[in-house]
Amino acid sequence: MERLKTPFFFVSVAAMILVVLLETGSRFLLAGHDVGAQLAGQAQSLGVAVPAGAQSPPGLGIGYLALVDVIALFTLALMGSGLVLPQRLQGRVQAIATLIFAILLILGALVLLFIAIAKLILMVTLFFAFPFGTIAYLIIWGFFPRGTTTILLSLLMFLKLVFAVFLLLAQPRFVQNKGLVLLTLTSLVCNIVATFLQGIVPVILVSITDALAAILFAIVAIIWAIVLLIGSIPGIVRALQTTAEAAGKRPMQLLNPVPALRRLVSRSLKRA
Amino acid sequence: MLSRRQKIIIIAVFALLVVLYTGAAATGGGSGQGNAGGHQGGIVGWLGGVFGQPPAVAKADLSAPCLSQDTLTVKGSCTVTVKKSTQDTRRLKLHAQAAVTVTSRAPQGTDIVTADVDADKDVSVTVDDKGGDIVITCPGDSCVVTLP
Repeated sequence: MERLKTPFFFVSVAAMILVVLLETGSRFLLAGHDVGAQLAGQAQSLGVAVPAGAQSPPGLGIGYLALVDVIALFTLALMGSGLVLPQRLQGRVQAIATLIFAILLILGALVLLFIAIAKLILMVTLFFAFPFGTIAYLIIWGFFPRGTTTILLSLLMFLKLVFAVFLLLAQPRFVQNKGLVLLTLTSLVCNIVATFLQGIVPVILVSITDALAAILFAIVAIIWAIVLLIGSIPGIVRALQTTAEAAGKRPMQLLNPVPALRRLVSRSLKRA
Repeated sequence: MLSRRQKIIIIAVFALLVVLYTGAAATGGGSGQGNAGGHQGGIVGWLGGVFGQPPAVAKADLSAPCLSQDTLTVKGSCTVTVKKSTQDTRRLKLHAQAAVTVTSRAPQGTDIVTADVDADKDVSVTVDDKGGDIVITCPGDSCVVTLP
């Protein structure tokens, strides 16, 4: 069996860390651009007058992409833990960490999902409440910085491809791990969906489709978190069984874990 | 090592993703700025149909010195106060019998919005949960605005 090429693996990890950092920090890059001139033009077409001072919104979609990509980062962290943790602890630590991570992710994604739904409803009702609601929508969300987000999404796409390619170079057998392949594809497809939803409508409506994308990403993250949660259960059960077995032995055996480990290894080998 | 078939599949999938991404990014160039005053179709129009208009402001939440029953008799200008509510957005529909100017705070913000309403036309003023003042100004000495 080929060994893990750690330099390639670390490049892959670094790319995914950058992806998550860019996504979580995207609001600082996108928000705050002056859009007063565009607002004045739209206000004129609505037949209303507003003070010329509006700024671009931060958007939700790219930030919510982090909910999906943080799962890939967590998976890499679990793989990386194999490089530092002793083998006898790996299974248990990974199962417990996955369980905690999945629960936290489900809770976080649910909260963010409800926030995105509430924002979407508010945006749509305001937009269609002509003309005072429409102008309020335009002031807050009307001028999405589509050019900047396209650049950001392109950079994210590039980093995700770097992540995938270097992961393959680190260990070609990763391609046989269906979960990892599906997770990588989910991340890449979410990136494409975000780009597509931001591109299909005129600029003044992008905030609405961007909120739709955010809702979709939160749902995808919840589904993946449930998959992780279910996947961690056998590991947790095994860890509990091992602990219970160890607790049932004589004190001397508890102090000396070698026989229990030997049993565990032989059982695993039989199963394999 | 990966087999030749696996390598071809991986390269094809990556190429397909890049092409899809390029296509998605290219759609943004053709959709333009848009016009908020025009008809909105597609996905946003559908969402508008699903969520609908904000509910009307309850009559009990309105107070104004010029308000009598459903009629606002404005002499110069009149301020209609809308009370706070638990609803995020509400709508007050006004019918101007003569041309008027309506000024109100934009919901969910602090900006003041002014709209000129022609004679015999309706205007919907949207207010948020905080409520606020709606100022109706007549260009002449007095005018009548009704709450349909």
